[in-house]
Amino acid sequence: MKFKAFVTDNGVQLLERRFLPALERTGKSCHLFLTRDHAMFLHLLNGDGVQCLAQFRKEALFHDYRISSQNDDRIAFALDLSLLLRALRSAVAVASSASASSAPTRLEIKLVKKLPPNSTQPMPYLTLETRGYKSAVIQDIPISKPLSRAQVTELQSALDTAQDLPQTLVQVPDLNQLLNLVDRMKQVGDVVNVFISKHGDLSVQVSTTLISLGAEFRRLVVIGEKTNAPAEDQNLSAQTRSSRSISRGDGQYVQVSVKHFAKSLQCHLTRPDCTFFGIAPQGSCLTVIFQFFVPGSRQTDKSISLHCRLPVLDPGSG
Amino acid sequence: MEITLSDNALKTFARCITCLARIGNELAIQASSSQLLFHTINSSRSAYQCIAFKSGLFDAYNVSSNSLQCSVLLKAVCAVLRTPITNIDHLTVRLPDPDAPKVQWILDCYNGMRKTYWITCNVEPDIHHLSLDRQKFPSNFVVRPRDLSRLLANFQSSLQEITIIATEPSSLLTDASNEIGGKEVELRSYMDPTKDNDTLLHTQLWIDPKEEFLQYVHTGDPIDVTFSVKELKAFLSFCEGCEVDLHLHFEKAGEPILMAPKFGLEDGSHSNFDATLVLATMLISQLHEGAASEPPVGATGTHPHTEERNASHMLQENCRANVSFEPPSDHTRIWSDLSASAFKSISPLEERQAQGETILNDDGQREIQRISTMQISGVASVPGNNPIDSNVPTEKDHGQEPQDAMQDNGQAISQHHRSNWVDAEEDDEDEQDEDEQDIQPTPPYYEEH
Repeated sequence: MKFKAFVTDNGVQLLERRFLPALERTGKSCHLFLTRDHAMFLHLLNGDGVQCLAQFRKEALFHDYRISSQNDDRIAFALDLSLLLRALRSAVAVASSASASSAPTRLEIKLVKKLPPNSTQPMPYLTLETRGYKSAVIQDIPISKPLSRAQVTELQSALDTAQDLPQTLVQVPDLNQLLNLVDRMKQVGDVVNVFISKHGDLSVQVSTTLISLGAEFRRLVVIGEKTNAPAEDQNLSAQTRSSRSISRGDGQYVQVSVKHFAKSLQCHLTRPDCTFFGIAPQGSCLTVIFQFFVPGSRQTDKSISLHCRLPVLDPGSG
Repeated sequence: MEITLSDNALKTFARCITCLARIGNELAIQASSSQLLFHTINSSRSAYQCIAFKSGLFDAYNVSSNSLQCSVLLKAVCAVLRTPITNIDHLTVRLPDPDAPKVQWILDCYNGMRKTYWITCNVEPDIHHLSLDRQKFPSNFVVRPRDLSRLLANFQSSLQEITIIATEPSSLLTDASNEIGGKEVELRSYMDPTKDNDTLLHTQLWIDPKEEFLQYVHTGDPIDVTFSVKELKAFLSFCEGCEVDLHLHFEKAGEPILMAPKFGLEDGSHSNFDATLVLATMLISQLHEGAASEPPVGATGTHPHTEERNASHMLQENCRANVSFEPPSDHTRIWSDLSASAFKSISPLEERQAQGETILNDDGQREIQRISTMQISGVASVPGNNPIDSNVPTEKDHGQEPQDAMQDNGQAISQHHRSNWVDAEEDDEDEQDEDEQDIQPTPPYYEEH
């Protein structure tokens, strides 16, 4: 199997400054899944933890993208994100010195098999290579052996399942506000209750025997199945309105780990333009979707997608 | 001895202590009429740092005897200097007499407070001397600390050892089409074959010394040195704090490297202090990658290798005799070998090795002392050099080997090194005196309670 490409300047910006720092906080290692058209960073096969999917159309990150394998040109392997980030930053620093000489930046990334010093067993590496005016660098990032055909099929299956979206999504206008709230929630308890309704309500709450801390966002933008809030509920308490909404079938409620919830919000480092929350059918998971606009416009950039799926601790009542 | 310092001198002093504490655990202090020496060596004896303070650095410098020495734990000194330097008007260090059991460290603060610390001197000071003439290293470079920090940032932060490969500077113009043309120095992460490297980033960084170094000297065939990153970073921070450049001298794989601050003037005569850090390097060269074992050597080369293995074996014996001794890496030379033939040569390289031998001699001597102490605990009158306890034949056998080695060396070393032997004996006398003193204070202390 072969993989070789050059990282574009835009790709460097996306990966080095936005996505890799965020993904690293979601999980130490992940799978890099390469296909003919896409490059995906996946936290999918990590048991009961947060699942995270970052998918890029190849043009968003690379040029001269070449890939081939005996498995429909699909290649997948696991790697340590901190090493990838370190290597990328190193390569960027070396390559940036080339700008003084106005030479085009060429940051090559490829899959190689090398024989480590004093070893008889070749090992696979994801290699970054570039040169600048003052220096040149080759960074060999150790990776797992590429996944077998069966393992790739398993990964693809998990990916397909993870692509399913909830019927209703509500948009959170201010992600920083939610981040601050969740930081305080971590001090209170381990479980966060999340309620989402089809008429644009989102509430998050941590409750213990002594203290409850939470917030409710109302009249949020809704995508997907949508209903109008009943007029008779306007003056009721949040808890009562939630209960009535669940009874009517236009709201859902799940419990997730506060740690998982906070971890998913680390994706704010990717600087999304919109963030949506939704509960999957039968309350199987809480989905957080981050949307990006084409720079300088309000148009969704479909070459990039990012979302997280949080496991629920208790089946929702929906 | 009594010394006092303040202001910038105190800041320099604190930086020196910080750097020493990142190298080793024990601070050896030696004072003479003209200078104060601080030494430390790490537990695996692969890193040795020496800092010399001239008397001019101090506001007051009084040393009553010709030579005075003791040692203390560096963590205790660091505790003293935990007080912010900006709060300290001046620091006074006082050793009332050469045999005093404690060193006084007095901080006079701007807020009127005086803090006095008494740090206990180590019973058996671990004094080492290692002198390498930096002028005799064939290769060297000078680099700004911030530039070297930037270069090291290319490597995984947890990297243990790094390899520097030097090639002869090219007089040709840099060929733009050549990927590494004109970049004669390579920094490479070292992959220890005895460890699991599956999680380590492997980095190769080629640099143009004309752009990255202030000075670069190397001629002839490519050479490489592999050494510890931890101590390099400690010294790098030290140079950065002192606002001086870093000068690194090296020769080839297996030979020690020497680092020193590069002051503005060539001889550094204007500075009130000087520092050197010597690091051991991996024996095996990285330039012959893929070799399963050491390259074949001629008949005349076999003997040195045997001697090196014997040296390693002897050190292993020392390790068994003393549980606190950390076994050295099999891939690191411990400063010198025991080859008697080395001392017959008068070449500069051999002289440097001979000087390095001092540490091994001192170490062997102390090892015998420790073994003797274990065997004859409480019987201070028995000479340390003559263990006679027949009930522990195994330990006795172990103890004899270093002694034999020293005897062999004694037959070959020059008059200059014979005087070192005498110094070692003097150390024995001092240690015995200290043992006696340690016994006496016990009853009065008990009576106080």
